[in-house]
Amino acid sequence: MKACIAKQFLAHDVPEKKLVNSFYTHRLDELLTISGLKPELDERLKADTLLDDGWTTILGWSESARYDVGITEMSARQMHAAVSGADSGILPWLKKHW
Amino acid sequence: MAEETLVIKEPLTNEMIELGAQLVQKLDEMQVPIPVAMWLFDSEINAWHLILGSPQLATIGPLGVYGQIRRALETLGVSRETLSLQMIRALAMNHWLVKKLSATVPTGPGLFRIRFTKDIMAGHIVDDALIYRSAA
Repeated sequence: MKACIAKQFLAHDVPEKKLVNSFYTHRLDELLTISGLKPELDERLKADTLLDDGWTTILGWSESARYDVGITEMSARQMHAAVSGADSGILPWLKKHW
Repeated sequence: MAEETLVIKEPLTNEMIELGAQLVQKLDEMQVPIPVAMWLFDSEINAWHLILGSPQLATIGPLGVYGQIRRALETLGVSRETLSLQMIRALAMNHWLVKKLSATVPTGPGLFRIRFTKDIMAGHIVDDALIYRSAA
């Protein structure tokens, strides 16, 4: 998602300070907004319930999850599928935009 | 002169409060166990999230739980603009927030509307919350 945002930074151009500051967050909902991809994803979520469930699953992630020793194997596998699943994973869709 | 940005706090509307209650009731009817339910304000992004504590995260995983919640929303006919799945966070019963809420504001299994504002929950500052249920 940060790769999609980075495309907005142009050579010989001083980017808007708010955009730069927001870029450093790990919050996926905020990154989606500044990427400019939110309207398109919202449309896809309406049409694809698996993507809807998967994206919401992904939004439950935070950088502090790395310290979560209580996560189950099922949750980890479902998170992985929501990110990289061939049919309704978020990553295959994102790759079309960077 | 330093530039200042005034951010107006996103309100928790009566419609959001009623829809949250309807969703919890619908999940009860569907026999989806939700021992903990509340609206929680996230000051970092100026947004409200409907927090649902779910023991089923450990058994059917997040995709299964969010699928149940999505079907409940569809049954209620709630528009995505009013309450989308992305406004909801399902938390495991061993999540610190679920455990601390149950210890701080235990309610029993009914459906309540308890406002919890500018208070401290186990060392964490809660800016604003509305608790429907805390019965873990």
